[in-house]
Amino acid sequence: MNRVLIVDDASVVRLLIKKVLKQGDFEIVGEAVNGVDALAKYKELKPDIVTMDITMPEADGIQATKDIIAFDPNAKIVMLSGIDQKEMLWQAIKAGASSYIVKPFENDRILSTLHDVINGK
Amino acid sequence: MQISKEHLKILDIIVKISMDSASRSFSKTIKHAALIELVKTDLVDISEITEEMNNDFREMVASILRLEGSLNGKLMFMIPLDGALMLQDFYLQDEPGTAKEFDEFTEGTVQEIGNILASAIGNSFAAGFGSMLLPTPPQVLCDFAGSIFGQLIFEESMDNDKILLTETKFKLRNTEIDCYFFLLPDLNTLEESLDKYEKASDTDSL
Repeated sequence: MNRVLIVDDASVVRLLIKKVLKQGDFEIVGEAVNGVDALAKYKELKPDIVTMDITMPEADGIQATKDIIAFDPNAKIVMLSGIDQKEMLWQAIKAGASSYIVKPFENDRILSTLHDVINGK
Repeated sequence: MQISKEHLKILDIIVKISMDSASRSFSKTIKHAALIELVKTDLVDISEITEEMNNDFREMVASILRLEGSLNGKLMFMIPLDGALMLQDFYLQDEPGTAKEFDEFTEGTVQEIGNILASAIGNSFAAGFGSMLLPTPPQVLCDFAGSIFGQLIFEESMDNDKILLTETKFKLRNTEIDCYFFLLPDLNTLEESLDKYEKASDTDSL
């Protein structure tokens, strides 16, 4: 099973992502509610992959991605955001994100993207 | 408060295009059709709109966000409490009637819908104006319509008699649920953005 850390400030979004990932071979090892929490949980849990929201209080998803990549350059992080703007996509890639999914998402799209990233595609 | 009629017309058109996009995102998020019943952009009298809202005695749940970038503004998604529970079931893909009372998941659903709508508006405006526009994390309120609306326009009502307001009304198909989306653009950054938009359009047409 692939171990996933879900990062989103909205509990309902984390619940929905959990429901979707349970349809695939994923184990949810933890949840974080902001960017600061995300780094702490990443260090503690060492997940195989992270789903990362961007718009969050305290540290946002871009900062959290930079912080996690600084701790573990091989971290696999998939951004999940409603923001569909070139500059934000570029910021996410520069921060070290492996992929970027625009909300609202299709269930299959999350599953296939996480599999692709884990398999290095 | 000044905005030219021409700029008001451009804004009205951009908002209508943006709301079409926002409506598609909304429908896809809840896997249920959210139909636009009304979109209007106008300078409105604060006392009139406040009275209208105060006469709506329904308990509402609302998500308020700011849009920041080349165009600043405030956005609010507002839905009656019973509608928010229905929305929660749609969003979580649960059987209708599963959500019985307001809890953190109802709050989160309204927060997320506000975020999705604000992002869709930000994406459309950013594409039109060629710059980045980002929503801030939402603040969720549960109160009567008038009280919530009062908080949305609090800053503007301190110094002005009128506000520039775009109002969109959605109806969820096959339900009696209506919900609202308001945009209050900041006039200074709006004028600058519309000027740039106008100049870019003139250059394109040469």
